[in-house]
Amino acid sequence: MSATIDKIILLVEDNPDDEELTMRALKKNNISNEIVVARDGAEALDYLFARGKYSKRDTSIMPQLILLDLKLPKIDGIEVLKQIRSDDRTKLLPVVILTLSKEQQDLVDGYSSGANSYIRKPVDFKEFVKAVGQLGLYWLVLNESPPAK
Amino acid sequence: MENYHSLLKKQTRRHFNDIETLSEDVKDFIKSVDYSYNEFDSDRTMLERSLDLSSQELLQANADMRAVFNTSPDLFIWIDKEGVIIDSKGGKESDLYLPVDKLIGKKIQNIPIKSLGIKFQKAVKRVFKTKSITSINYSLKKNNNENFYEARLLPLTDNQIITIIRNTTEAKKAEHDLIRKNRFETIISSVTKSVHSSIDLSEVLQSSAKSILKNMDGVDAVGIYMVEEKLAILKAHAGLTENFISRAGEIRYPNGFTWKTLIDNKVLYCADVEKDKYIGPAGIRLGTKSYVSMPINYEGKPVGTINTHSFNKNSFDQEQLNLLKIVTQQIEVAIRNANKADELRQSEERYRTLFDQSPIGICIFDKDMTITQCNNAMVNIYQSSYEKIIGLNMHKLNDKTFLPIVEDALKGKTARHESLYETSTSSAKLHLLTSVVPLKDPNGKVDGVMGVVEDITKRKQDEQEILRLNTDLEKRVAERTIQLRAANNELEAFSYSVSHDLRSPLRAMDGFSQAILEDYQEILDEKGKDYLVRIRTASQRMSELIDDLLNLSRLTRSEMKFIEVNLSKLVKFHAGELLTSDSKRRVSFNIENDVIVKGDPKLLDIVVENLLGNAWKFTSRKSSAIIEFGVKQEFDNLIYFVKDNGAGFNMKYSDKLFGPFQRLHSEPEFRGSGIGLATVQRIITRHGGKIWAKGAAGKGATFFFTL
Repeated sequence: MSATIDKIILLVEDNPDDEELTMRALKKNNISNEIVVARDGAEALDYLFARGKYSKRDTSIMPQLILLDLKLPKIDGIEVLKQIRSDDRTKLLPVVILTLSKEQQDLVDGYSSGANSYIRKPVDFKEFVKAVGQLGLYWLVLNESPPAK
Repeated sequence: MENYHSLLKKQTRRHFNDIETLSEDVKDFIKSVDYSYNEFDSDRTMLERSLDLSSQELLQANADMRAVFNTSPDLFIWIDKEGVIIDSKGGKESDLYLPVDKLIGKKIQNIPIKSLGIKFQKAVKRVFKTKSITSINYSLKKNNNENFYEARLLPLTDNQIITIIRNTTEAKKAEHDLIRKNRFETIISSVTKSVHSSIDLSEVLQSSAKSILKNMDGVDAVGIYMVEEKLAILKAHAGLTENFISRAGEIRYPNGFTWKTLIDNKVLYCADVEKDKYIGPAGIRLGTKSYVSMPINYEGKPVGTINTHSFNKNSFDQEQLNLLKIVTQQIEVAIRNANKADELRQSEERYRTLFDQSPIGICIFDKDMTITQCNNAMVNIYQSSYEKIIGLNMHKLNDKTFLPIVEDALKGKTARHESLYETSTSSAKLHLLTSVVPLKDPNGKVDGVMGVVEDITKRKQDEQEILRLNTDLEKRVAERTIQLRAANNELEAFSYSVSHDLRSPLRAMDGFSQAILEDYQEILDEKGKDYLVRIRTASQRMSELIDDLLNLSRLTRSEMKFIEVNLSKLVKFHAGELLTSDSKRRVSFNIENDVIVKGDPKLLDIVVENLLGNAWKFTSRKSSAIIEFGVKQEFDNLIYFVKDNGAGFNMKYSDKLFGPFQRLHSEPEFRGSGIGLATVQRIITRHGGKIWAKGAAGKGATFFFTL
């Protein structure tokens, strides 16, 4: 059970404004989990699979929730999601897609690639805070994490 | 000798019972015999010879004679040397000018008709002189009937002659009739022959005129007239004088007996022109005393006359009239023939023109597949000459593909085929379409073939060209489609970026404004807070605009379905939605039922939603709003409309209604992005329709559209 105590949230977000606003929304909802921020898709994958600058990371500790933006430099969100789902170590991790895009194609790609849910980031910050609140309640409190390896 | 004499006497007595009762001449005869036997008894030889005649034979001869006299229709008269009539036998009293018994004892030259008496006297003299038979002919008139006689005078003894008079009237009439009949037949046969051997009407008329003149008794001139409008024109004549022709060659309506005949359409016979009122001066001058004018009919109408003139009165009898009628009928046949021939010639001419002028090659083969006729087009197609083609046998034709279908046609089949023909003069191949049709003789047997050859090279080339253009077009369409698809993909990528990248800064603006409002509210005055709220409102509004713009662009890219859509149902649905969205408003909807169109149901739903939403929005200030939906017909078009009694608009700006982000009302007045009508217009345009609006400020608006 030691692995789940930390309840890390991995936030994959390239836009510093959005990063700041997401952090603020989490904080507004009193979500005080450790938040690891990856600024592109490659970094996110490095973190998860302990590669590159995260090579020394203990891979037995996996984030309890991944908040994944779709439009990312280097490796985009959908590709990141596919790799998460194709690796035994990560395939059961809950992934919530956070995006500005309303394009239907994103929705389809997101779900078929194995996203657990999809949340559009509204322009209205108050709405966003509400959405993040509901999200945190479900994935961090109500949902049982899959057993760690 | 004595015995012979007595025997003769005895026999005479037996035969002539009582010699005293016998007529004087027989008595004399017997007496003289008696005398001569007594006188010349010495001439025994002669006597014996006389006695050789058996009494039986003598009796028989006598009986024969009597029978002949009694049965013969002829009249026998015995005349002596002085011309005295001694005896007469037989004959009919009615035939003679005097009873027979009254003639006896009178001299033949003294008969009441002097000329005939002299004739007889001369004949009698001649007979006694020549001792040979003489005959004379004469006629006697009695009660308007003329009887003809032949008198034959035979020498009997030196001083006696017998005259046999025969009534030859019947024989003469029969002979006359025969001659007449022959001549009539000559006329009919010559006319008929010319009718059937010539289609030239004037030739027929001329030969008819000549034949009538030549072969009909008592006819002195013949003229045949044909009507041309108001003139009767002399077309054929015989026996007419130059003077007559110059005066009556054309007879103007209604002059002369010619026009009388034409007008009445009846045979006109005049036995005596002195009692006639129709004959003209030319006829009088000609010497006509009697005439027949016979109408010639064609299709039941008189078209001419045959005028037969005689220079004697009473020249025509019923038989001649009948004959003229027959001639007329033959001429009528000739006219029909001539007209038919004319029609035939015209038809032939038309056919010939068609044949010659046809742009399609036509030729005719006989049974042996030799070309007997061909037209110019045929010569041109085969780039040959008329002389070379006529007489050419199919087997020798360069176009070998022609042969089998001609063979088919000779078997009675109609056939056609296409072939490539290489001309001798040019290297280019001709594309020929050949058809053959069997030609049949009147009995239905195939006796030739009509070949029709059409040069379809140009048509084939055109077909090829069209095919090539089509292929080219398809290729270009495919290329264009690829380009369009690429452009579409690019646009999609662009839209994606727009939605993603434009929204992101807005979020930051909104989010951080909110953060300031929350974290620094103590150091902000009311104005500062208001500004931050404005920043947030503006950000959110822009976000909405971006969404609407994206929707609009998505509409024009989505694939369309064309199915039946019930617009009335859509209108009712959205009306219901609007009514539930704001229960405080009083709006009455008038919706026409079952307005069915063909189109994309999703897109049409957006149209209805927007138009109804607009009407709803702009009637919000009305205490009793009315929104109508319906359809009307204008010419061939069905026009759908949504009408309201709301705020309306100034027609001056009606062209701005459908532009994206165009608004005719200020934001606080009526909320909206200004994208709704632009969206509607796009959808209508995609359906191939049109949309327009009519309205006036404060007086409502009506949106019309077609699909």
